[in-house]
This record gives sequence, structure tokens and C-alpha cells, in this order.
Amino acid sequence: MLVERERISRVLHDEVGQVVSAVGLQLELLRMDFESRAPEIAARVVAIQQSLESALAPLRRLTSELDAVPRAGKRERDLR
Amino acid sequence: MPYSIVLVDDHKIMRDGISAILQRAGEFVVLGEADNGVDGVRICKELRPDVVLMDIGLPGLNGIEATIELLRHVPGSKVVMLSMYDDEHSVVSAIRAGARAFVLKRASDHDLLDALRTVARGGSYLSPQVSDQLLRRIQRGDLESKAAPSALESLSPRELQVMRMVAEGKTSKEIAGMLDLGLQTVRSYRKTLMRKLGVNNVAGLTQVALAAGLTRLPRPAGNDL
Repeated sequence: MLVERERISRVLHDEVGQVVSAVGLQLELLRMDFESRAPEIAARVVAIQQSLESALAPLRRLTSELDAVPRAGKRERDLR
Repeated sequence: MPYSIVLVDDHKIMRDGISAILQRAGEFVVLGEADNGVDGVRICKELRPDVVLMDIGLPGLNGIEATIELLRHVPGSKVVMLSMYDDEHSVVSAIRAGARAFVLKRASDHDLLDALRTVARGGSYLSPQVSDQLLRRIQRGDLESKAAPSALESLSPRELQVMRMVAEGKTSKEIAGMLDLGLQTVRSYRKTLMRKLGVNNVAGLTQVALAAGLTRLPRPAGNDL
């Protein structure tokens, strides 16, 4: 069970999360390209980035929950 | 004159994207790249960059450990920690390791350039999501309470580092090579941390490390996206 949680967490983090984040960086380059000469396109790029970001938020929550069992107590304690 | 920077991230797709953005911005020149903590430290020792952009979840030495190592050898470099997660453990560990900034990997509202500019000029930076979360905890008073110290908390950062590597199956010789330490020194760390934790074999130590979230199960191969 623990192994399966680790595997799912790793796939979400190492594959899905990183790719979504990297696509966001590529979109940022597009936004920079269009910012001055075609601001309406830049605005649409930002909207796409925001859609991607809305997919990342639940992914972060899920991976945190999956990690929470082996890390129980540790994360909380270290900040105190 | 542009600031020099080294990128340390095990995901090529991220390094390429960041490199392209830095090139476009024109304020930074990328001196080198690495896809793991050991190479990251080695490259920084050679190149002594102004800024190091360090992913927190690296294979081998993780981003926290690599930062401790790096700053021991190149104290003038400023580390910006990059993370998929904004959990407090990651943020606090990064800052304790000496990072000057903590930036969340995101798909929008990129604050990476802001963080790099601020740190290169001598400042510190937290992504807005991270600082908001810390602020809320401070307001709730969560940061003021103190948990009872555990055996794990009695370990030094170096002992924690050695513990994680032992739990991941590395030999004393491998650890000595990765951390640039003598073999006897590593053996001495192993002996001390086992005594402090009250365990007498690697299996017991691994159990403690897994339970504390210090290590995870081995990564699958072929993960360089």
C-alpha cells in the first residue's frame, strides 16, 4: 500500500507536475513575445496558463496527502 | 553586466524552459547545468556562480543537502530553491540550509525572474503563495509552539544527511565520495547517529528514516523528462 502511494505520488510529481509546470514556462515565453506587439494574444496566453495552474493546485494537494502518511509529524514539527 | 547562474534540476524540460526565459530576459548568463545534486555541487565549486537555481527534489543529494554542501565550499553563491510543493517542511528546510529564496514551480504568474533578480542583488524572496501560508500560520500562533525534542532532532544536519543515504542503501564508501568526506569520518557519523537513534542495524535505521519522511522508495529509472 505504501509502495503504491509512493509510486502514484512520484508519477504525479515527477511526470505530470513537472510537465505542466514546464509547459507553463514555455507559455511564459510566448507571453513575453506578444506582450508589446499583440497584447490581446498575451492575455489569451495568460488565460491558458491560469487553466494549467488550476490543474496543478489539486495535483499538489493530492501529492501532499499521499506523502502525509510516512511524513506524519515530521513536516509540522520542523517548522516549530 | 549579467549575473552568472547555474541550473540544477533533474528535469531537462524544466532546465530548457528556465534557460530560455533567462536568455530572453538578458540579465543572467547560464554558466552550466546539472541534473543531480552531486554534479550540481561539483559544477558550482568550479564555476562559482553568483546564483544557483536548485530544484529541491534531486536524485542523489537532494536540493537541501546539495545547498548545504555547496555553501560550505562556495559561500558567495546565492541559492534559489525551486519546488513543486509549498509545504512548510520544504520551505523551512530550504531556508535552514541557507537558501535565499523559495520559489514554487507554477504554470502561471511566474515569479522566478523576480526571485532571481532580488537574490542576485543581495535580497531574499519567497513566492507569494509561500509567504501567505507562513503568514497565516504566524497569525494562528502555530509557529510559536514547540514540540518535544525527539531523537531525530538531536541529529546534526550532516548526520541526517548520512542517515538518509544509508537508508537508501548507499555504502560508506559511496557516501564518502558523494559528500567529499573521508571513509573513517562517514563510519564515525554512522556509528554516532545509530547510537543516538537507538538502532543497531541498517534495517532499523531505514525504518526510522522512512517513518520520518527523510527518504522515499527508490526512483524508477528513465525519469529525465
